[in-house]
Amino acid sequence: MVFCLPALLGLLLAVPSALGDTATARVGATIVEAASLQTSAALSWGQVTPGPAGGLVTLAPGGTRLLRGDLAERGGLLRAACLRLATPTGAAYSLLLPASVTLRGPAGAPAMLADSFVLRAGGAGLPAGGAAVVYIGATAHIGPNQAPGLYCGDLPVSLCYH
Amino acid sequence: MTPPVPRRGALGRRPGLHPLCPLVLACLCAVPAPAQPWSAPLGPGSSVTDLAPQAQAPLSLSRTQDLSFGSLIPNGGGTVTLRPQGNQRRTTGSIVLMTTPPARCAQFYITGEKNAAYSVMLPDSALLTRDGGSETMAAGAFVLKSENSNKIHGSGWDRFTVGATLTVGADQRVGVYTGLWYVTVAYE
Repeated sequence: MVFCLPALLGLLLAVPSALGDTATARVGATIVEAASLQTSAALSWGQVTPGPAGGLVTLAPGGTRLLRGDLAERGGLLRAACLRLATPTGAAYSLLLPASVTLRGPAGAPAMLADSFVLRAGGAGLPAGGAAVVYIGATAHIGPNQAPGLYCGDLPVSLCYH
Repeated sequence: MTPPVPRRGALGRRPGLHPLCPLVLACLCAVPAPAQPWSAPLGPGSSVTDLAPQAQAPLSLSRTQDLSFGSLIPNGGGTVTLRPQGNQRRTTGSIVLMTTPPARCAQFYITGEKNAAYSVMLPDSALLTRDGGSETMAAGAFVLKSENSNKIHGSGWDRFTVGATLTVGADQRVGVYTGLWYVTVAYE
């Protein structure tokens, strides 16, 4: 047995190291909050008096107003729409604005159109996650001799992740 | 008195050896050696060294990168599949994927016998638990892609990546989820 035992041991010791190996790894994922989008202020073009030809009222995101065409300045509340949004850290997203919306006024009065929506983010712009404030301006199309009254519409804003 | 002359058999048997030793050795020689044959034929004058096989280089496996599905919004739940090619994610349901931190496949580095084929054993599933909580998610359908088709390169190494599928609940609680899993490799 003096001869056989070393040979047997040599074989047994060689086998385990050649059988294989095992490694441990981690697996991870992070669940984040969905974005929130809240209206802080509605857009207001103020008051104008249209002439026979009508015209355009443009309100910039900064709140300044520009009249074009046959319109008379009448003051009123000038205010860009304001949205507050919170997005997850690392989110890549954009805000989608409509091409146009309809503004409806007194019964029987023709509707007006609002378009050319412009968005401006406050502070350093739209962040990649976190809180942000966004201002939106637009242009209202005033028809010839547009009937007096309050004209309102809905402005849908969508947040789209990339 | 003349001392007795030891009898020597075909295997060079010496005094004190069990008569069955040659048979045992013969049986050992009959065990299939996947990598290399015995280095010397059995015969007169053979020694233990002569009989030792040239053993395969041991397989060694190390993890070089953990598996991460990145960040996501459940948005009703679904699955996220991370393919082992290119770290690309695919979803089912309405899950929203965040771009940072990026998703990454697990990566492993293996060394062993040159040109030897090897197999990889992956788990059926792994459980991810929310840090600081008890909520869980399950990862399954682990899939690997070897750089050299599960074969050690001529230079003695190979690499492979592993992807999986994560199941996300509709009301999955916000947080960081982690878990452990194991990979075993063996020669084929």
